[in-house]
Amino acid sequence: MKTSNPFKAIIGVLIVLLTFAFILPYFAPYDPRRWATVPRDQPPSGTYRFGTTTVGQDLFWLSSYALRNSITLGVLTAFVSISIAFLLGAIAGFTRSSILRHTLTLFIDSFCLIPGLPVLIVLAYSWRKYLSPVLIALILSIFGWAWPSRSVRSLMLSLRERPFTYTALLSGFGMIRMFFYEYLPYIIKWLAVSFLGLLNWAIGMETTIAVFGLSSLEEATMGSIIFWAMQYQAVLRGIWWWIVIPILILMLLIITLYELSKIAGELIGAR
Amino acid sequence: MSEFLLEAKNLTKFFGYGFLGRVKFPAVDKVSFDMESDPKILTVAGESGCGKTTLARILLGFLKPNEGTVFYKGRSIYHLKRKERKWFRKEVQAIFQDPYGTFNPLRNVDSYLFGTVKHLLGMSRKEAFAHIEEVLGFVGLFIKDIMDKNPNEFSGGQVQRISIARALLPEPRLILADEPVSMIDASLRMNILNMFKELKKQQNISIIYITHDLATAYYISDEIAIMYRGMIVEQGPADEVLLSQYHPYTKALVSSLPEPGKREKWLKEKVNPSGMEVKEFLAPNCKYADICPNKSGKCQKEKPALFEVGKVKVACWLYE
Amino acid sequence: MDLVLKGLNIEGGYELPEVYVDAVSNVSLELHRNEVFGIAGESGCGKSTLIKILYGYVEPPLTLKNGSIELYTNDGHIFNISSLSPDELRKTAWWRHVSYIPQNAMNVLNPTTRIRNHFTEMYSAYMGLEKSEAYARAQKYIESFGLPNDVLAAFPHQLSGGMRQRVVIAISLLLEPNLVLADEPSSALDVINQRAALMFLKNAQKMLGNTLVLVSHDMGIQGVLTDKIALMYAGKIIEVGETPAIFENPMHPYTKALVKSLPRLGDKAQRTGLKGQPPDLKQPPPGCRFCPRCPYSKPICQKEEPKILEIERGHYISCWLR
Repeated sequence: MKTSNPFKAIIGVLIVLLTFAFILPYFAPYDPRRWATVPRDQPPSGTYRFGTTTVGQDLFWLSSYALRNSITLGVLTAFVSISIAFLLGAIAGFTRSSILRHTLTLFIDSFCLIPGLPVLIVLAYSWRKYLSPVLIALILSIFGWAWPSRSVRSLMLSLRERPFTYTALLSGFGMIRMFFYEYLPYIIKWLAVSFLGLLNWAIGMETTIAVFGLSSLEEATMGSIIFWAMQYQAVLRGIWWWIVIPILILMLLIITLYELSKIAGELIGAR
Repeated sequence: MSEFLLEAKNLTKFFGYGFLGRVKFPAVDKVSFDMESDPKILTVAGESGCGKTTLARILLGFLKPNEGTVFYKGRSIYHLKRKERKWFRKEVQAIFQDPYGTFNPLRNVDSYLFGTVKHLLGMSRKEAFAHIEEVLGFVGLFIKDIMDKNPNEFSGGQVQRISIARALLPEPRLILADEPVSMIDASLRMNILNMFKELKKQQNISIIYITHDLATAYYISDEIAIMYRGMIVEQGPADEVLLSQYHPYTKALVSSLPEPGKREKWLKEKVNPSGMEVKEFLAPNCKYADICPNKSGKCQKEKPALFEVGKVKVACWLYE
Repeated sequence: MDLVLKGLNIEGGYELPEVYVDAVSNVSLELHRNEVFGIAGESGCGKSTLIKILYGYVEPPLTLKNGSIELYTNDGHIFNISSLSPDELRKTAWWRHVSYIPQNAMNVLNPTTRIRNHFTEMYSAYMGLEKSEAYARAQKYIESFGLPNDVLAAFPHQLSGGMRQRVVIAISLLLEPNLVLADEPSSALDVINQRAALMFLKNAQKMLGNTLVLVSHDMGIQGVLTDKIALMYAGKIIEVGETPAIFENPMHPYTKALVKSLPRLGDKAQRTGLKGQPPDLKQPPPGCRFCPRCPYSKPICQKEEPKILEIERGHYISCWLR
C-alpha cells in the first residue's frame, strides 16, 4: 500500500505543485503582480505558457505567486484552527467537570451553527482596507476550528470510555501519561487528517471570498486571479485561459490534498 | 478482625435520557451489601441493563454515586486523600470482559505490567522484572513470551491471563472481575475460574464476580446477589439462592439456563422476557411486577423491602 | 425423499494476500428431513465458514476449493449449491428452499422502515403478491407464530433485541424453505430472551417440519435444541452423534474434555479446562489437528489424519484411539 502506484502519483503531483508554488517564484523574471509587464490577452504559447491577462500580467508566473500565497494562507489558517480546535475540543472531551464540559460544548456547537460564509463576507468587507493574507487567514480561523473541535471532543470522549483507559487508571497511570502515551497515536492520526482537510477548506474559502472581491487583491491569490478575470469578463471576451487555468490548478491542488488526507488516515496512527 | 472489607450502602446512580437528559432513571437503585474480611467470592448476577457494570464502576472509584457511600476497610473511597488513593489502587483491582479491549492495541502489553509495578509499587526495573516473572508464573505464562508483544499477538485466553497477572501485581485484597470469561472459549473457561478459586484459597484475595452466567457463578461463588433493573432482588449464600430460587426473577433466570437434562421442560414452559423499558426502572412499585407470574395487588403499589428467609434476603412481597 | 442436504469432502477457506487459511477441511455431512442438526465448536473451528459454504454464500476472500453440496427439495429438485454462484442462488434457491440467519441477524432489519415492509417486500418479490394482499398475509403469518399483531407496525428500534430476533426468524421462514441455517441465533441475547427466541425457532421447526441447522458454541443450547450434534475442531468434524449420546458418552478426547468442563448448577465438582489453544489454520499441523493438546496422543496421531468411523450406531468419531 505504501509504495503503490496511486500513492506515488499523488506524491508526484504534490511535489510538482509545491515546486511550482515555492521554488519557481524565485526565478520569476519580473514581478508578475505588476500590470503591463507583458503584452495583453495572449493565449498560451511557447513564450507565455499560461497566456497573459488583460492587464498585462504573465499568467504563468502570476499563478506561481498566487499558489504560494494561497497555500501559505491555507497552512496558516489550518494551523491556527487546529490549535484552537484541539485545545477546546480536548478540554471539552477530557474534563471531568460537567459544567466546563457543557459550557465548552455549547460554545463549540454555537460556532458550528453560525453560518460561516455570510459572516466571513461581512467581516472581510468591513476590514477590506486592512486585508492581507495573514489577516484573511486569521478571519478564516474564526470559523475553521468549530467542526474539527467537535471531532476532537468526540474522539476524546470515546477514548475516555475505552476499557484500556480503565486499565491504565488501575495501573496507576496519571492523566498526563494517559494523554501522551495511550491517546497520542489516535490524536496524531486525527491531526494529520484534519490538518489536510482544513487546508483544503481554507484554500477553498479564500477563493470564495476572493471571488466576491473580498480578498487581498494586490497580493495575488488563486481567488483574486479569478476575481480579476471575472471583473474583466474574460470568458465573454474569449480570454478563457485567465479563468480556466487558475481553476484547473486549484482543482488539482484540492484533489491532491484530499487524496493525501485519505492516505494519511490509513497510514498514520490508529485503527 | 471482624471489620468489613467492603461496605456498599444505598448506592444510587442516576443517568439522564431524553431531551437535554432531563428524564432521570436510576441505573443503580439503593444497592447495599457487605463483604467481610475473610476472603470470599461474591457474584453480582443479572442480565444486561441490570446495572452491574455501573455498580462495578462505582465500586472501583471511577463513578461517583449520586447517593450512598462505599467504604473500603472503613474508609470512604470518594473522600480519600491523594496518598490514600494510591493505597486504594493497590488494594482493589479489576479485570474486564473483552481481553483485547483491556489493552491499548497500539502498545505492548508489558508496558502495562511494568507501568503498574512502577507507579503503584515503586520498584526498580530489576525488581520489577523478578516480580512480574513470579506473578506471570501463577497464571501460567513466561515473561520472555510476552515481552515486546502487542495484544493481538496472543489468543484471547492468553490476554485474559495477562490481564489477571496485571491485576495481581500490586498484591490486591479485592479483585473485581467483570464478565471475565464470557468472551473466552468454553473449554478454556475452567482454567480461569479455577484460577479465581486458587486466588481466594491461596492468596486470600476476595473476588467480586460480575456475570450473567449462573452456571459459572454457582461453580465458584460463596455468595450471590441478583440484580434486576438496578436493584438487588435477592442475595445470600450462592448455593441457597440458586437452588431454592425464592424470588420469581431468580426462578426465571435459573430455569432459562439451557441444560441437556431439562430439555422437555425448557422447551415447553412459558417464558416472559423483560422489555427493557425505562419505565421499569422508574416504577415506584416492584420493578418486576409487570412480568411476574406471582404478582398481587400489593406488588403493583409498593416496592418490597428485603425480607429474610433463613440466610437469604429477598425483595419480594411473597416473603413478608 | 428423506435426505435434504448432502455435503461431500468440502474444503474451503480464506485466500489472504500471502497465505491461505484452511478453515474447513474435508468435511462431509448429511442432513435429513425434520431434524435439528447442531454444529458445535469453539472460536476458529470453522463452523460459521461451513455454514456459509453450505448456503452457497461464497464470496472472496472465502473460496471453495473442493467438494460438492447438493440440496434436495420436497418436489425432487436437486440444487448443486457448490457449483452455483451467489447470483444464481439468489434467483433460485435462497429463501425458497434454503434460508440463512446470520450472526447478529437482529441488526439486519432496516432501521428506517416498519417491520411490515420486510414481509410485504418478500411476498411481492417472491410470490408476486400485491401490497394489500401481502400485508394481509403477513398479519396472518405473524399471528400463526404467536407474535403480537402490533409488531408489524413498529420500527425495529421500538422492539427489544429478543423480539427483533424472532421477527428475523419469522422472515427467514416465510417461504417455508426445506432447510434453515442459523448461525448463533441467540448469542447477543440475555438468558431469558435467548430462551424465548430459541423456543420460537424450535416450535417453528416442529410446525413446518423443516430441517434446522443450529451453529452455536454454547453446548447448553445444543443440548436442549438439537437431535444430532457435529463437533468441529480446527476445520474438521471430529465427532457426530445423537445429542444424548454426545453428552452422556462423548468419545473424542476433545468432546470429552469439553463436556466435562461445562459447569452445571447443583454440581460443585472440580472441573478442568483444556490446555493450550487451537492450531493456526494458516499452517495446520500434519496428522490429527487436536494431537498437540490431546492427553492421549500416540505417535501415529502426529503423522496421519484419522478417518471418520462409525463406532456405535449413528455415532462417528475421527480419532486413532478407537
